[in-house]
Amino acid sequence: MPHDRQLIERLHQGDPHALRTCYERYKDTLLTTAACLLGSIPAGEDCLHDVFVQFAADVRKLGTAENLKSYLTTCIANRARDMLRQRSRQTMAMDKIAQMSEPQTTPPPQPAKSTDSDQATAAYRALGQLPDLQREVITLHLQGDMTFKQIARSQHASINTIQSRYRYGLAKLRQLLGKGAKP
Amino acid sequence: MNPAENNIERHVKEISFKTRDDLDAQILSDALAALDHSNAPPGPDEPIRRMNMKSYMPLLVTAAAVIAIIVGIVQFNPDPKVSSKDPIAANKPDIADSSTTDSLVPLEIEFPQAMFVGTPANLSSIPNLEPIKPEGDLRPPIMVPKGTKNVARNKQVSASDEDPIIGSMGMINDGNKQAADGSYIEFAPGPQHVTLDLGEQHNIYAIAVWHYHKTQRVYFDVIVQTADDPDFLTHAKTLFNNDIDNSSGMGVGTDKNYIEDNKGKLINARGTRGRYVRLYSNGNNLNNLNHLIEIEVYGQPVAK
Repeated sequence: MPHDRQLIERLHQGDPHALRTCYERYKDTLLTTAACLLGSIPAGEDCLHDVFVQFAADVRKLGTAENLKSYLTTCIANRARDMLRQRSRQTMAMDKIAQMSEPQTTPPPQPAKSTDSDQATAAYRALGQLPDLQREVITLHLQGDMTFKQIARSQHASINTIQSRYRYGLAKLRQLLGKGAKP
Repeated sequence: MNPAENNIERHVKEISFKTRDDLDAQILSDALAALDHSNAPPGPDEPIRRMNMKSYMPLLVTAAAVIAIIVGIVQFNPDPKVSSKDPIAANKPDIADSSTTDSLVPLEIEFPQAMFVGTPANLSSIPNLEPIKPEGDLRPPIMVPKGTKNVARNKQVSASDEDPIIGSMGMINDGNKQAADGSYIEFAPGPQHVTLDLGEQHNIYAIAVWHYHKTQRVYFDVIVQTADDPDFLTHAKTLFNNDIDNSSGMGVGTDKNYIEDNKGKLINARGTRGRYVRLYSNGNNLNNLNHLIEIEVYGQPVAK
């Protein structure tokens, strides 16, 4: 199995096999990360599609020292952030229209059908209830295997801030999952 | 870190989703096309860039003359029944051999005869209009699995305006895409929609729409959706929406307005699953009426 460095070199030469290998290697991780960030599998699929096609178009700009998984995970995070912003704008527009109607609650994230354990399913649901920044740090660290330093760089924040978000996020998750465990 | 937090981290790490096969095929096909496209333009160091202006001016003049002759021949098509094909659709991109992408082919669509030529109408005041493409500019092909065909032909059609001003429902999917009189259906003013029932669940790869291409027009608030039920409550998905001010109340769209032509509007549905396809519109730049010549839905029935 070629290492990332070899893959990148082949991608620079426009090798379609390298692109396919890259996709096959990271597709499920990237989809999981995107679905966790967006709280929806279809939205995660759209995100994965956008990111990978853009990755293929700009692959020549990729540095040879890049860690492909971290790079692609960062791309997913950036795209997911854009999609969340877009969704927020659309929701605001819809809220203006629906101001006089009954208040609506945000639909809960879809159940994690592909996830094996009940605890993982519960964790996925609970992730959807976290604030965006906390969810992003937890997802990128645990699913994307990114270090706090890498996340700090991608979020333009200090490492201390990122670690705080991570801790607060975990505490909130513990609280949410604890509630769910009660009869 | 306490054990409870360790458990939570473990549960989050256990979350796992797998991509669908049809999604894999679509992403790979689009990514390979993008990679291929990024390989295509000559780099700044290639010899042609080092030639000075004088040396390749005769070459440019000759090429321009040849292109002008070809465009003239293509536009002077004396037989209106003869359809033209998108040249780029015939140029299959170099998809490398693989079990995932072997079965993908560029979608080929039969286009009706172009009806308008000459000076373009002044459409510059229309907001959110996509850039006007130069003559002969080709859109990239959509890659679809082998065996994909128009599954909308002669299927059941319903509309918000059940009594159209001109034409009948069956004209929307009868295969006649010409812009001549008698080929189009005219609906009442304001927001209207038509719904196609494909009869069963399909994987939908592309949707092509011709509103009216006899004159240059822009139809507003074009929204294309798919769903599993006729009320569009189950798995409803919006594939295209250029209603930027949400005047139709279907959500703010991010797609561009576009000028109708004989090639229609081709929308990449990326293997979306659904049985019903609905198309909204809300008048056009010349009047507030809604017209449709043809809708084609390219897909395959979902294996049972």
